[in-house]
Amino acid sequence: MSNKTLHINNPSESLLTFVRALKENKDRTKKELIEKKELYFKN
Amino acid sequence: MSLDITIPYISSVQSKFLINFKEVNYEDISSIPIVDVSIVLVESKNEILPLKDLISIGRLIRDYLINNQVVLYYYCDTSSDNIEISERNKELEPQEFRHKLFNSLYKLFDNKDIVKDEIIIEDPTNNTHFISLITKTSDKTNLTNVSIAVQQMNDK
Repeated sequence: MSNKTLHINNPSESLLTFVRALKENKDRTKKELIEKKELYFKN
Repeated sequence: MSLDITIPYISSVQSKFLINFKEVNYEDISSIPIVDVSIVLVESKNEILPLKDLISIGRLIRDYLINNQVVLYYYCDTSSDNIEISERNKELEPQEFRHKLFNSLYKLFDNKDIVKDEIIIEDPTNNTHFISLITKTSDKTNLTNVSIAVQQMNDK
């Protein structure tokens, strides 16, 4: 069951800073996983 | 026990995925841990993910949630790399497609014990940010707390 959606059209600088940090974290995690992928698919 | 774990998954068309769970430090927002989930296509066979694989990945995420008292959040990556967008969704931005895909995963859970909230933030210089939050129904209050914290951040 989906509850609710919070949609913010005009975010404050404070919120933008927070959410852009989430994006950077995601990019960093993705890069690290791709670099280490062979570790997880050893036979 | 650490909440951080990475699960390898090879799809029926031999594309390779890593499903990564990583705890993030937002103790002031939620009384239970908040965990970032990433679904990363690390090796593509250039084919759309079949439904049975979507179901399998959904089960991995659901099982993690059932076995741990956490709020899972999925921030939709904005990159057009490492993604196979179906023809009928070609008009969508990568992050919107990922958002749609995660919603499909959630629907496949077929589990009344799991609830979901969404946060969508329009960014004038960085496209739209899509975030999905899921947790057990018994921990639903924590989803509300995250939304309130985001709203308060926006009021600053």
